[in-house]
Amino acid sequence: MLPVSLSSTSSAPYYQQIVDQVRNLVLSGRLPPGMPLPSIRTLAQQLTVSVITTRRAYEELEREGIIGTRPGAGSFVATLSANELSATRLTHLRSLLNEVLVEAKAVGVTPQQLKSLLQEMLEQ
Amino acid sequence: MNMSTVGMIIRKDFQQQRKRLLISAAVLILIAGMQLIDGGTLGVISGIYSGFAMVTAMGALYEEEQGGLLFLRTLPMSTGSVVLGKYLSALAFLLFYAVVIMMPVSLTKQTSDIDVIMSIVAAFCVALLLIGPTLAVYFRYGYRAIQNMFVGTVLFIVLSQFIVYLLKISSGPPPWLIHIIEQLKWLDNVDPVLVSGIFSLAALMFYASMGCLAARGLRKRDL
Amino acid sequence: MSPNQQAATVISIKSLKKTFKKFQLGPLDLDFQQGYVYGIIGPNGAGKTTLLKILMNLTHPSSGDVRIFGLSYANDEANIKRRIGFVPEEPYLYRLVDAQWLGRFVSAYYPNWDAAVYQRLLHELNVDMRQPVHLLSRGTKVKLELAMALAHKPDLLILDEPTSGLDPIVRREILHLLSEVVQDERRTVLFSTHITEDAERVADHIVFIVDGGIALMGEREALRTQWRELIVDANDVRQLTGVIRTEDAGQGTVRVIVGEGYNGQADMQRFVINERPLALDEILAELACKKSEAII
Repeated sequence: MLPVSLSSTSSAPYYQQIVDQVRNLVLSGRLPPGMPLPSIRTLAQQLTVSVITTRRAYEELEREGIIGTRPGAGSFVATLSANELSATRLTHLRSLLNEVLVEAKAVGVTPQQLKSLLQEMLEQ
Repeated sequence: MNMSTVGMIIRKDFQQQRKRLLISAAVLILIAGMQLIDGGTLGVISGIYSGFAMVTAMGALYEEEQGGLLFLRTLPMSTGSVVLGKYLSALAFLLFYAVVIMMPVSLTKQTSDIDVIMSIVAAFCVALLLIGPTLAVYFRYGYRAIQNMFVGTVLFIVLSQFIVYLLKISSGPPPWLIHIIEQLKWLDNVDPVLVSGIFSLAALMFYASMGCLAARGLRKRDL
Repeated sequence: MSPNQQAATVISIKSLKKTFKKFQLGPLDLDFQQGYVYGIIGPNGAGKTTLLKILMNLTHPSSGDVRIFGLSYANDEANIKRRIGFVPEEPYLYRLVDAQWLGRFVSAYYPNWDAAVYQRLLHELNVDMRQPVHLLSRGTKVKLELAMALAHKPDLLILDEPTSGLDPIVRREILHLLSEVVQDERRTVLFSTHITEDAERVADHIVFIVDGGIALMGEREALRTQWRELIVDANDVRQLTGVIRTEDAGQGTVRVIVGEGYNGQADMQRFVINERPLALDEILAELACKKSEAII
């Protein structure tokens, strides 16, 4: 069983929700390295989604290096070195921050305003 | 072809039709008995017998149309088996009625009375000749198609009884009919058992060929 | 279990046509892959039952070719049917027999019949083995048919409107059973329904049939990302692809229905103020509209 919960009203596709949630669970340590993951079919049944979705999510997670697959033995949480862990966390944060930058540009917030906003929030 | 399941189908048909079979048997005994006491003829027995056989067959086919046929066709069962089950069921019904009709016969006449035996055999053959094609049409075209046939057959039987009755009370059969009956007189010289045997065999072969036609028809049928 | 395995084609339909007096199904061309659940959705009379009957060789096509497991009905009818479990829309069963009789009868035709599985399924589904069929409710009859269909371990399970007319609890039982079936990836499930919520729950692929033709076929999840209702600024509508129709939503915004051709990611996302995926029955309604517009 994976502690994943999908929202049908979120704009993110199901596979993306699975990827994001599993990534967070792994990075936060909730899913320890080496832990075996349910098969794509078992997970599909657990979450009541299509097996195509879970397959896609696992493929994406494997691409990011968060999980690994042994042929015949299924998937498991990858063992990431400290460097890999921080690199992954930073990559994830980078893409999140990128969305903020795009949004800021769209609504006309200047880089200066953005920097002071970040400063203010970090000091809290 | 799986004989044990064909056996199951025949037993199931008997079980399913048992009310109809018992009521028909009772009425058959009653009417046949009355007719025989009255000095019944071959035609009458044929008519009654065939009538009841048709009624039972129609009943069984109605049940099939309600789903049995589609159920069987979803199984890996050949069209031959499906048809065989039905044809053997109908044959079993006919034999059942033949046994049933022996009861009033044994009460009113001697069972060894050759005329009576031949009447029953003739009735059996007529029924085969009627039911064989009816089943074939059912398998190819469905229940609707044979409902008309059924009405037609009943009308035919009733009409023929009526005609026979008219002939009786009138001056007798028309000359051309007498002529035909004269032609058939040579049969009296032939061993009646042999004649019954040949007619029965012919009827059964016709019945079997109708079965083959039915199987081919079923293969083409859209359910 | 390699994630990138190429699935085998279980059913291959080419140029299939069935002509009736007032209706024509096809020409249809489509394939069904092994290991998935296919939901066939369409309004009543669209041709779903006809299609499934043709797949079972209960109805014969006017033209075209159907292959199941690579075999054709002309040569291998028994071989094909031995590997298919079929649950019809109307539970066609002999009235006076019971589940036990049916089990014994049917088992003679399926070499893979497992009586233990049959009993277990009947027990799990609360079907009384000794009750005659005509005394069972419709839901129980469907469950009985399902048990008969699954007990011989079919490679392909075909169901025609399995949940129609059933209460929500029984519906869930049946849908759960279907998703159990494909835990074995060698098996495939096809079911037709006009209850789109059921297809939402368990189908991997959806086939929309409208008026005897395939209006759309796609992965259920992909449909969620393509077919959406968006609120965008009126000026941004032309930036979107796959627009089907629009209507005013107030305050200078427009409600846009998008479908095929809409790419929900990155470059489109910035125009979207609010959005939601369309439910399958809404997609069906859009497709049915398009069809009738095309006729006009």
